[in-house]
Amino acid sequence: MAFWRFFDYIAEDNKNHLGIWYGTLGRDEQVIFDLLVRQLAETEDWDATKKSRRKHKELEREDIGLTQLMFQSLRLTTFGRVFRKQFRAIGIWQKEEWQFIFLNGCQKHGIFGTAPPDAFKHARRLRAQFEAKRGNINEHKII
Amino acid sequence: MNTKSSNSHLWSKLDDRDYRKAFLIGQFKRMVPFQIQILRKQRGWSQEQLAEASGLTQGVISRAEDPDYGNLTINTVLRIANGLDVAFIGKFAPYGELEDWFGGLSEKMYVPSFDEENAIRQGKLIRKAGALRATEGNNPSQIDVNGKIDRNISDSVDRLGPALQGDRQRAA
Repeated sequence: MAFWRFFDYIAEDNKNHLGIWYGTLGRDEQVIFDLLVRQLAETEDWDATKKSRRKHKELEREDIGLTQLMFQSLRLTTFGRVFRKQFRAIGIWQKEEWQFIFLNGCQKHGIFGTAPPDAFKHARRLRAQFEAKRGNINEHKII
Repeated sequence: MNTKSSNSHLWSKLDDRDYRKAFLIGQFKRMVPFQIQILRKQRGWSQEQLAEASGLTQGVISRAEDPDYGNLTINTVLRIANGLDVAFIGKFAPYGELEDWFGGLSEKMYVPSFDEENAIRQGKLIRKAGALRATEGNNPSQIDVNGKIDRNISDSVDRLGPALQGDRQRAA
């Protein structure tokens, strides 16, 4: 049973920035993201999960009002080494409406770096557009 | 603002072979740890308790419940299944079966242990046998095609009776 609904924000340039970013991911990364969205949709209380295992984080300071969903992909080499890639899907978590609006996404590099660059700055701009009631939202299809 | 709605689209995604391959691995790696955690919590057990029941260490259980660990072995999964006293079905199946299973996953999260399942089955057998006995001699026409099955159930209950009594005595 799904408690939460997810939407993609279609910006005033008529682009689905989350969708564009999703298209750049590898298939295994797309699956991890799709499964995460499904898992969160069916989790009534996201905050009930132990903090270290949570897949969401409400951002602070200049990013206040934004929430990131976090996931990582792992690749094991034949020698047992693990390569991890960290990804963030950024959006607006509307708890009262039981919905999450995806704005865009990125891969994390180090503490502040992202690919594409300035993804959080971009998310702040998209959030401002959304709050000014510019653009549209489409329901995000859950697997 | 306009909104458009849609239905589940897993099957259309599975049309892509690379997605299919990744989904098969991804859903196993994420859903098995998720289910282990759910089943442990449903029993009100700590990780230490499950570890003891499974003959593993608490660290192994912690990793088995971590969807990001990514290196869970079938051997560990089977030992945890034994600890939880539930079956683990590892079988090759068509994708349609996987889709059906995945679609109803949240409804199927509760898995009774063998003892719970056994009690449920015996309860059903006793109720069915009771219903059959109530109809016998009163209105035989009500014993239809299912009558044969119900007679077998009745026989089973008769056979199970002493065994159940033995269990109760052992439990006492």
